[in-house]
This record gives sequence, structure tokens and C-alpha cells, in this order.
Amino acid sequence: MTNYRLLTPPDEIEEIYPYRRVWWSVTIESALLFGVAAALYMAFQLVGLTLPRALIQPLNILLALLPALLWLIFSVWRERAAVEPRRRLITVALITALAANALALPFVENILQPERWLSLAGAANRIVGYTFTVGIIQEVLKYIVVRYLAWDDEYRVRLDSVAYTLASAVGYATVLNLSFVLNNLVTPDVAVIQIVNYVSLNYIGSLVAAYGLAEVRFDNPNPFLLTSMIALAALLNGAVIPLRSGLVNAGFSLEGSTPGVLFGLVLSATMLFAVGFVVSFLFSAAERRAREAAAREV
Amino acid sequence: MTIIEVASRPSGLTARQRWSHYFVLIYGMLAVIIGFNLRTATLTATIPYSNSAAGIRAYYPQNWLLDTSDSYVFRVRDMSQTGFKTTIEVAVQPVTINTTARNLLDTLTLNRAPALSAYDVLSTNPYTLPNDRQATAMAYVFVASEANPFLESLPQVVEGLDVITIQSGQAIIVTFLSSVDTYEENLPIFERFLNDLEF
Repeated sequence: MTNYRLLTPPDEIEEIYPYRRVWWSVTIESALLFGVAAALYMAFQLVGLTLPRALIQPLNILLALLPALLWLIFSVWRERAAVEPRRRLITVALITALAANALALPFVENILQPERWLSLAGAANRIVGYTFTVGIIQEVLKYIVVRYLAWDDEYRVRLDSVAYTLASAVGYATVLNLSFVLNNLVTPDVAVIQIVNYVSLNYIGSLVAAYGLAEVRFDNPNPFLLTSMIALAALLNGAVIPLRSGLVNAGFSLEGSTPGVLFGLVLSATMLFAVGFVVSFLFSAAERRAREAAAREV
Repeated sequence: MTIIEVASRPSGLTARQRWSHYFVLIYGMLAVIIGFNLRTATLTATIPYSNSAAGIRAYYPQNWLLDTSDSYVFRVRDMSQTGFKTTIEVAVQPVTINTTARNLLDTLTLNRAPALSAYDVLSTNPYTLPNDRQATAMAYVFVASEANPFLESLPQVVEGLDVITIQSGQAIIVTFLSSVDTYEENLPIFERFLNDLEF
């Protein structure tokens, strides 16, 4: 039997995905951030690395900006390679950061002051307290920015919702990070754990809100769905803050005790992975439903 | 993978979309109001204390540490504060018919001046208690330093307020102490305490 081979192979019809793949970017950014946190923790706690005092603050500021830098590299910069780039990512992140710095943080820290009245409260009270203070202010502010800057004009596919709400999360988390490192002189291993915590909290809330925003934009859900998602995002924030404090803070013991920093890192990673997994599943299911509905119409 | 492209967008929002956004804003406002209420309820939460021997009934702030082991009737301190712990103290002292509030304040000043560093009286004024009972208030300052010198802490300026009233042959001395940095912030707690104090 003779095998024939074409000198010019037939053109393969390759389907080009015109948008940046959001889940890939989030995974890479999160993995790198957690990797840096783990490396710094090991370098300082296990190896015993020490830095000159003059280097600590600049390094902490660099760490505070690291999530935004990773996002710029793996999300914003990669948009340039997409056929249909998302144009307002930087605008959303910047406006969120400005609003967080000018409104949300002063309101939470100077007026609501949750640390003043929740630090000694019971677990349930702390969860409810943080939900209705830190959580709701953070999530509603991010929602408002995305709603009025991107939701109307820039949502073309469902995953645009994830891209824009995560841009908002990066803006908010960066302000929290800078506020923390500028007001606390701590070693980089402690700073990076707090930074990871802020980033993962904001990502978790934004992923949940992204689903609600996408459903309202592309589907015809119950009018309470979006509110439920924002409420759930605030509740997750409210639950994780005291849970993490309980895990990280050193217990009182006559034999001495050390803070469980690694527990905090593991909690942040687990929560981010779990929420990301559930939300990606919900997005896939929604897209599948939309495809099936479109096929039925054809 | 099939891309669901929304080619033509509706000109405006549907009713459901509009109400979805309205509900979020309404919920956000309600949640902040709830947050404020929780804050107020927690900050003003009190625990009752009564001492039938001294004839005193009071409500002190929740989470403050109660101490009845000294010469005073009781003392409560906010142990969550860094630095000087904000303190409210109630003491009872038997007096003669001729004793005035001024005598008691002078005695307090004479006792405190050698014991407290940089003790200085700021003012002495008449004070009206909630049940229209007349009292005298004396404001003063002193410098408190850590008893343990190895803790390497800076001394703190403390502002105090004594409210003294005489009733049925005994003087009731209610003392409020707070770091000058947090004095104005904590004074409403003391005023609420005085409002609820029964003797």
C-alpha cells in the first residue's frame, strides 16, 4: 500500500479565542504571589535571614505593589495579545484604588472602627460585625466602580465580569497593602502574609460578585441574585477575617507560643482556590446553558 | 469552544436589571446602618454590678475588668487599651456632718501629690448628677509610668476626673482616669456610667 503525502497540507480551521483567558491569568498571579509569600516565610523563619533596617520598608513597599505588578504583567499586558482586548482594566483598578483611599478606608478606620469594638467580641458577633462593616463597604464600593465603568459598555462575554471585578480587587487590595506597610514596620515575611491575605480576601469577594454581575448582564435572573452575591461576598470577608485571626494569633500559654502564620497562608490559599473553583464551575454552567439556549433557537 | 458574543445590545436596562442594581444599593445602605447599630450596641453594652453593703448599683462597660480587691468599692479597667488602661473607680468614705466636698478634695490632693508624679489640679467645679443631686468635680493630671522599668515604655500623661457627692454620712467618690490622648473619646463612657449609677 502506498502512502501519499500532500506537499501543502490542508488549512486547519483553527478557532481563535479572541479574549484573554482570565482563569489562566488569575491562576498564575495567585500562584506566584503565594510562592513569593512561602519563599519569604521560609527565608526569614526557617533559614533565619535578616535584613538591614533601612531595607525593610522599601522591600515591604515593593511587596505591597507586587500583586498590582503581577496583574499588570499577566493580565493587562497580555490583553495586548488578545484580538479583543479589555480596554478599561486599568481605569477600573485606578478608580477603585482612589475611591478606597479617599472614601472606604477613612470611613472604616475612623468612623466604623471595627477593631475597637470587635476585637473582644465572640466569634458570631465578629463575623456579623465584619460583614456589615469592612465586608459590605469593600464589596459595594468595588461593585459601584465596575457597574458604572465597565458593566454597561465593556461586558461582551461572561468572563469580562471576572476580569473587571478582579481589576477592582487589585486596586482595593493595593491600597490596603500600602496602608499596612506604611503604618507598620514589620519584617517582609510578616508583611507578605498580610498582603496575601488582603489580596485573597478581595479576590474572593470579587469572584462572587463577578458571577452576579455577569448573570444580570447576560441572563434574566431573579432581581435579588446580584444582591445575594454581594451579600455573600461581604459575608465571606466577614467570616475569613476572624477565622484567620483565630488561626494566626498566638494563643496564651505559660510555655510560650508562636503565631500560626502558615495557617493564615493556607487558609487564604484554600479559600481562594475553593471560591475560584466554585465560581468557575458556575460560569461554565451558565455558558453551557447559554450555548444550549442558542442552539435551540437555531 | 463556542463564544457567545452579544452582538446587539438592548438600548436600555430591562426592569429586572434596573431593580437588581437598585436592590444592591438599598442593601448596601441598610447594611451600613446595621453596622452602625451593631457598633453602638457593642460600645455601649454594660454589665450590672451591685454592692448592697455600700448601697451602690452600677452598670460598667462590657469587657472591662472588674476589681474589688482594694480599699475602693470597685474598679473597672479597659484592658484592651494600649498604654494606660482607662479606669473608673468608685469609693465610699464615711464623713462627719461638718465635712464638705472641698475638704475631701483637699485630702485627695494632699494624698496624691507625693504619690503621683507631676500631679496637678486643673479645675474644681460644681457638677450636677443625673438625679439633680449636687456634686463637685475636680479635674487633674499626673504622669504614670510603668511599674516594671524593664518594659522600656515612655511615661504617659493621665487625665483624671473625681466626682464627689455626700449623702447620709458618707461621701461617694467616683473617679475617671484616662490617657490624655483618649480622654475626650472615653469621657462619654464615664458620663453614661454616672447616668446609670445608683446609690
